[in-house]
Amino acid sequence: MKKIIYSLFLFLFYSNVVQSQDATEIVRKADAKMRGKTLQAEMVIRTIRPTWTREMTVKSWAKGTQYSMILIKSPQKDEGIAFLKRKKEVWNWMPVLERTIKMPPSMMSQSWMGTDFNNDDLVRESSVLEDYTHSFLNDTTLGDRLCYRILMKPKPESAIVWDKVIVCIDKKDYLELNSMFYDEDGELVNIMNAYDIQMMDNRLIPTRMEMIPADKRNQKTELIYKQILYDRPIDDNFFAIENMKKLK
Amino acid sequence: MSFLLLIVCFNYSAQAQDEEKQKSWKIKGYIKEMPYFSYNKPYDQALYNNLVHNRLNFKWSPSEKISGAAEFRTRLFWGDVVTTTPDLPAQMRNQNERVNASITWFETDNAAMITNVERFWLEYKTSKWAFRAGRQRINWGIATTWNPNDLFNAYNFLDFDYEERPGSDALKAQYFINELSNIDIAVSPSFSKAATVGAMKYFFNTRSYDIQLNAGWYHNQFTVGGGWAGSIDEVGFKGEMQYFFSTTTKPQFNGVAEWDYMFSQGWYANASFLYNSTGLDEPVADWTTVNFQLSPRNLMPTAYNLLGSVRKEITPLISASLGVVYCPGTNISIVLPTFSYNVSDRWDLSFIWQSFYAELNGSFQPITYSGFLRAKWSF
Repeated sequence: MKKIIYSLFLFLFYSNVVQSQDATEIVRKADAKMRGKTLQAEMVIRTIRPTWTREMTVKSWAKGTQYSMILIKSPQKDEGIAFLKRKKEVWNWMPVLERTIKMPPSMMSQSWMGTDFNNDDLVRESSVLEDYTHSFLNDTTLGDRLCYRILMKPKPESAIVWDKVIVCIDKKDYLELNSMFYDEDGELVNIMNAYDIQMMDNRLIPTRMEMIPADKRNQKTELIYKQILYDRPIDDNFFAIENMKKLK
Repeated sequence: MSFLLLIVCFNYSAQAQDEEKQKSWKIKGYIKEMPYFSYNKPYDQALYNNLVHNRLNFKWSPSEKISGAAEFRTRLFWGDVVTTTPDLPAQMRNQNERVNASITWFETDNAAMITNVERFWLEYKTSKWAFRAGRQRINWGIATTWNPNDLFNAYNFLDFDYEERPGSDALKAQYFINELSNIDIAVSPSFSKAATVGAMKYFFNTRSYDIQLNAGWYHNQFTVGGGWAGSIDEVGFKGEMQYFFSTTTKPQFNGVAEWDYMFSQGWYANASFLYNSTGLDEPVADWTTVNFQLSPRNLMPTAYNLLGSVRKEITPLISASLGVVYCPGTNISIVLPTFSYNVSDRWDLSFIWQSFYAELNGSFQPITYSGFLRAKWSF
């Protein structure tokens, strides 16, 4: 009897724990998993259209949501172009012009280098935690993974261009496997899918992302992680204007 | 032909270096082929030309602290421009280069081939200091089109085919105060004191604005200036001001203010205003008296200059732009449409048009039309 009561207690307590894990907490876990405290990555970004494909290789460094740096490695003519983001400000180093250009804030929500990703997707200016409120929708299954569906609504004071974002986060490993971005008219604008779940730097993560514009289903941009390093210390002063010129 | 072969060989060796992952030196560049024509007042005949344009950029980095660059620009002109321009090689030289480092391979009645050493510098750099000596570009501009703060190597925004822009023969020291703040000191000496440029610049960031202040000597005149780059809400807001004190001629003020915005669907717009206190502010009788000789003091020959430009990315590979310059007072107007197509990773095609109009003797009229078709192969 004692055992039964104990089990029942445990069950109730445990289920309480599960229920008290609110939507924000799940988004936080998924975000922390993908982003880490710091993140260094080498990736291939492939823009795919019905009649052509372009590919570039890119290296990135990020520390939280405040600091990030991106360096283009190929194609050769764009090699050395770099972007620095510190808080809300973004600079662009153009090696051909030997010039640093301060970018207007309006550039953040627009296409990055002709891809289906915008600047914000790459330098992650907005925070999925601070700039949105989160609530549960019904659960769903993606592939063989059971997922939470969570509605993210931008907070009124944030500068997010979306009206809402619906994300699907895997219940077991907290992997964000699908995101749907809606504009203020309620129209679906972008669909992001994540695939190829693998161990990289001792972390189980999706290593291939695709962004599909909802009104042009025959085109997309793929982002494939080739190498990734989590939580290696990066000093704040690495994210310096001068350092954009030295990145390798 | 042997020249082309040389480039191809260099290209292969650069790739081989890439594969070895031991890159103490690198080579990059391009070849451009550009037929163009111009049709000028009084419109008796069009002038046809062709330009083959090669750039070879060598970068040498033997260690973390030491690096160097040597960059060469070779241009082969043929057509009416050679026939109608007296001493073309001299005309093609950059004004701010003290040492003549150009070679004229040949010059005939209708063809000329010139190579110029565009960059030739050595740098020593630590985390706090950098020293660079030689032919280099000293980019002090912060705005997009017109840069009054660019004291060492002003560039002509109409010279679209000179993407790297000119350099100057100088010594430069930089001190990096922190991530967003530094001090530059540069001197471009000359055998004649009247052509020496020496100045310092302090750059910092505050309240989401980049700010720079400069002071120095430009051709025997004391000059001070400043610039900013920031935003008003979502709109980029940049500007530069430069004041030249002068004892022999009139003091001069140049100022630029500029706004830019990126719209959705690949639209970008930029509006800019340049004021030159010594520029022309009323119509001229003779177009040839308008001085387009570019210098930091003469970014435009006119006092008031308005530029509006829009660019549209039609697809990630195809874009079009339209720039319109209007100078109230002189009524000089320039219309600049462009169209570009990225054929492949290495190939780009562009079409550029330039039309000049002005009010001469009370009538607003076209002065010159030019059209350029350009194919570029990058390596």
